[in-house]
Amino acid sequence: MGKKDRAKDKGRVSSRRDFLALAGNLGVCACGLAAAGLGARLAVPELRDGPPHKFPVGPAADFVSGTLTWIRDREIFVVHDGDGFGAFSSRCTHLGCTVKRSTEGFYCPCHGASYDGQGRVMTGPARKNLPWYLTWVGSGGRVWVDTDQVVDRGRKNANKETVTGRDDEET
Amino acid sequence: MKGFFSALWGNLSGLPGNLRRGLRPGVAEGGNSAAGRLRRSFAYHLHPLRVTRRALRASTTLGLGVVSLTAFLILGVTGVLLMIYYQPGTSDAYASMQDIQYAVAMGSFVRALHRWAAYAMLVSILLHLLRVASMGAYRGRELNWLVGLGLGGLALGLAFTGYLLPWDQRSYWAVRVSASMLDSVPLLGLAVKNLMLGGQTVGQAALLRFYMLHVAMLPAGMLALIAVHLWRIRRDGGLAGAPEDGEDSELLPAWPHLVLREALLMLWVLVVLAAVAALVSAPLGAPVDVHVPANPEKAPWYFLWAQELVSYSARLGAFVIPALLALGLVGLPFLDREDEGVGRWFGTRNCRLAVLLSGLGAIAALALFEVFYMQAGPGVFFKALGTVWPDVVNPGAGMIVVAILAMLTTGIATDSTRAAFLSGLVVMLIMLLGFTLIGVCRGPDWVFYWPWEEWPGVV
Repeated sequence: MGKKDRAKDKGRVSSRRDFLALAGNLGVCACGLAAAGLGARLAVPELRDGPPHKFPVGPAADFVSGTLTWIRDREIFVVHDGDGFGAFSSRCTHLGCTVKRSTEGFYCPCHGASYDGQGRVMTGPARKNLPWYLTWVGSGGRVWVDTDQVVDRGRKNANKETVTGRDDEET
Repeated sequence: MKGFFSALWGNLSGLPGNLRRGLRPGVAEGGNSAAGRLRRSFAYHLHPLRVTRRALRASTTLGLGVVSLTAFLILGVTGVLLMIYYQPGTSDAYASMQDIQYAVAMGSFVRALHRWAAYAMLVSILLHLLRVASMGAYRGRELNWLVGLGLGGLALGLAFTGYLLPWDQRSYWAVRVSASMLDSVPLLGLAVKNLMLGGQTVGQAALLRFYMLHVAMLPAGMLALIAVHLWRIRRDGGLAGAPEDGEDSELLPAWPHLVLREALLMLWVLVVLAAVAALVSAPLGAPVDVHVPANPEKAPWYFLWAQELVSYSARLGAFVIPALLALGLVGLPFLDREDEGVGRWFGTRNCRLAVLLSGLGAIAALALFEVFYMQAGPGVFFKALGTVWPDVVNPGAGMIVVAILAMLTTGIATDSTRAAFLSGLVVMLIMLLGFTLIGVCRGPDWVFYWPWEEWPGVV
């Protein structure tokens, strides 16, 4: 190959040597990427479901009518009044801190969001209301909550019959 | 047989000389000259043979790189010592911290030194970045600027992962909130969250992952990048910017002029940090309550600006502002290619003036925003604006607007990309510092209290 040809071919894979060098470099890169991928795959956790999303929170008789009870382990509030039982999250919808009770309702100590007594956002960085969950009294007399089923704010149920289309879940 | 013994005897009698020559290779090669010393020592060979008098003056760099390197070395040594007693398990971690703090001999001192060295490393890295940016010293050193940013990111990662390890109230809630912040990050947020926590909640898997990152992966990355960073300084021809004529440009041998100054600075850093650690111990918070945060529950001071920003808007503080800042810093050496004023603090005279005005403007704007925001109350905003606008109308978003305005006006007034970007950077840094100070003043329910005001008692 003459000098002129070589100049013309500059920047192109023109010889066997160039090709082999390129293939070698690509091969090393591919091996490195594959190794990194394998390592990253190992680090990705096999996520299990975590604690059950449907659970009893205690005998219905333990909840005094007209009161609000905080279920510590589940991080939810359970309300009980004439209409029955209801439950909503105690986890601030902003960044997940546990809200505390205040005179008007609830506030979050981490970034200052505040909610009214029904979990509606009043001020602060939270943009969503505290979600309410489907709640009912099972045949065994215990109060059940299903945190997979978000319901309208303030919804309460007396017993399982008012929960349409549901079997008795207390088994 | 006789030959073997006489050879052995000869080797043994020659041992002192052979040890000296064998363990100090190349003595003959360099002799005792300055060049020889630099050539045959690992620590010295990182240096160039000769440096200018300007490079030796403290006011040129303030030695901030050496300070952060020293802090990193102290962190390595104290960290390994702490690993002797620390147990990365949710049921044992806090108890092992109490052991270190109250029972182990020298435990509280080593822990305090680790804490203070970490603070020193974060501060000196930030100042180092500011120094390099203000001198335009990234000019022609694009790769090393990026490596330096990587080191800064790793240092923040080390601070963050180390924060969880005591498994006390503050560390648990800081990480639980940070994990929720990743929900605001599009695309990669969820994947990073899963990788970080190793589960759905902050539990044993998360603690072990944070521990692994803190003691193995991040320090290893840091070591590798430090090696590249130091090597590139020499490859890039030493400090940026030409010395002024006269005495400044005189060349002096790096040994002893530079090497001894560095060694002395390292000793000073060690002495000062050790003294501070002996006087001020690192606090150990209350035992963790995984369901109830304290009130207020504050982030460590180096992340307080982020907590203040997310208290305006999660999306803004957790994603938009950090991403803009990172993008701006990465792009800086490619968007500013000016040679004028390189190596001078804040460049040319016009540049210094622009930066000063921008800084004053930033302070004024911050005060204005905060007074308005706190007087009007986020609640007023929230009710008037619905659910989307509070993310866009708040002091954090105001910071972005002021930074862009400072950049544009400076750019138009001075015709200098350096002055423009430095103005923007200074506005951001001053306002982030302001957000940090406001975060310091936050009391129960994240309400602002002046330092002299007493916090109301909370249940």
